[in-house]
Amino acid sequence: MSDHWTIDRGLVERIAKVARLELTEDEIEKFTKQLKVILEAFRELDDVDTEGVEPSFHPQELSNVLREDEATPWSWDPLENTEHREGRYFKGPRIQ
Amino acid sequence: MKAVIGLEVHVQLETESKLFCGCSTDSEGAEPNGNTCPICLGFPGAKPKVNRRAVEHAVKIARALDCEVQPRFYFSRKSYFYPDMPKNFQITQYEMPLALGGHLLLDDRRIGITRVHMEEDPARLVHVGGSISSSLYTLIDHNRSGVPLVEIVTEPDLTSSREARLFLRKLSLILEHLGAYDPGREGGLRVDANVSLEGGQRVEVKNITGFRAVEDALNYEIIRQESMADMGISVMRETRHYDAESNTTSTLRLKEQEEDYGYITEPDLVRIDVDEAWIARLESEMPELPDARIQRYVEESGVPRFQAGIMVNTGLDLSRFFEESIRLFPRPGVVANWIVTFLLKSLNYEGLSLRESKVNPETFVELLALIEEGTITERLARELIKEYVGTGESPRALVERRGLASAGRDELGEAIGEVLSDNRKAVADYRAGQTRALDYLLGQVLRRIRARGDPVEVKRLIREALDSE
Repeated sequence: MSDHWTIDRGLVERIAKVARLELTEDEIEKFTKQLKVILEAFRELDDVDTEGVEPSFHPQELSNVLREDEATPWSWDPLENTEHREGRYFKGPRIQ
Repeated sequence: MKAVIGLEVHVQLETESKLFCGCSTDSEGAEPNGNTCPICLGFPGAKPKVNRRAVEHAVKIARALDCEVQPRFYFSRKSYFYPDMPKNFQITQYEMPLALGGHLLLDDRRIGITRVHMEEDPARLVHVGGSISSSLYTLIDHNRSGVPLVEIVTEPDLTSSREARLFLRKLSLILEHLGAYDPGREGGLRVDANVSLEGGQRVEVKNITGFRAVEDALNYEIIRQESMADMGISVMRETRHYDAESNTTSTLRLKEQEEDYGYITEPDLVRIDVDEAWIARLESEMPELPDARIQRYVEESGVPRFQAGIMVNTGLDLSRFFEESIRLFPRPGVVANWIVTFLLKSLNYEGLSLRESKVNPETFVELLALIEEGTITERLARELIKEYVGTGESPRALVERRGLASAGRDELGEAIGEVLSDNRKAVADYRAGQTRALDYLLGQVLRRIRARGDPVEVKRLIREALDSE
């Protein structure tokens, strides 16, 4: 999967937009350079022979840690640490 | 132009507790944010743990749709920023969902099921002072956050809004049979629909609740796209929001690419392995599904297929009503006929569902027994069922209270005797071969017994009396 993504200005701008970050011109330039270096470093992984190795999706080898379906109420005041509230509701921004 | 429709159906699974925490899913009458904890509010460090029953419901749903349950699946984080999700990601499934590749039969049409996966519901938002985009701010109730959902994704195999509605009705019926879903729950079934006209761009319509709304929303969207095509404007790929009140759709946002969600495997949840034995056990727990139920009514009870279909498709409560009724009154043909022809009609007239009405099998079969034992005529029963459905009063008590039982032998014999002696001219006319005279006599007798008798039977008795005079 060599050149699936090329790090360029356009990609950095898109990532910033998806991550809701506002970047300055200088930052865009700086991060474009830095991300290139990072991706280059990860490219070394392409050299590893993974023939016959199971793909890994998760650091833990555990499975099936389940809980029974029982309602166990949590006793607290969920709103006590916020000033953004109205009655028993949290208050949030309007949708842009 | 042919419509191409695919659906993403979100169904709330019937559980006591949420998908990843022990908060109750029953928030009717609860105060906002009353059923929350650090897990479903996404506090840092909170540790989610998967609800076993939710997994088991989802596996059963997958099997009922003939999907391949994956031997190993993971949960993923879908990142997005919206006030309904304070941790800024939704726990869902992406690369390795619970099940793939099934289908649902709609008569002879085979609607492909792409995948079935589990996810958590986000919070409920109240937009204060306007619509979604014009409101001043939002109020957030997290009682819904973390409620277990199953998402069922279809292939783009549906070709009309009507077919989409029928598909959802059948899907909902199957889920109800499985005990995985309660059709009475408000907002328990929510649909996003992907619609395009052949060759055009795909538009996703979000926020459709219930299957009647799906038909309306799709009708609107198909007409909108057709008119754009007529005017030579190309349809953009976008997400639109459905507003049930105005029955219109409007642009929500230009569609993000899937990769913009930055899916990663959920590090706080471990994988789930579903082995053959577990699937086999769950399959053995699965009840009879709607198609099999219809078949059983036809084969075991001799009910006409169209009546069996109407009863089963109306909902599980009506199927149970029928089954209990034939246990109490073992004449399935009569019971089915009375349910389909008269009970449903009366419920419809009263604007009631079976659940809302006071009708129950015990009192319903009284009506049938009253006919069978000759206490009332079928004609009277057809009148009484309307009153019964309206009030729920036991038909037997109703007949007694209002003195509606058919005239007995003695009363009838007496009435006939009186009528014959009071109407000698009609009797003579009858003997002279005028058949209309017999109808006149019948009318007189029925008047005297206040119509509490079967006209055919009364006519026979009059003739008998005349012959033996």
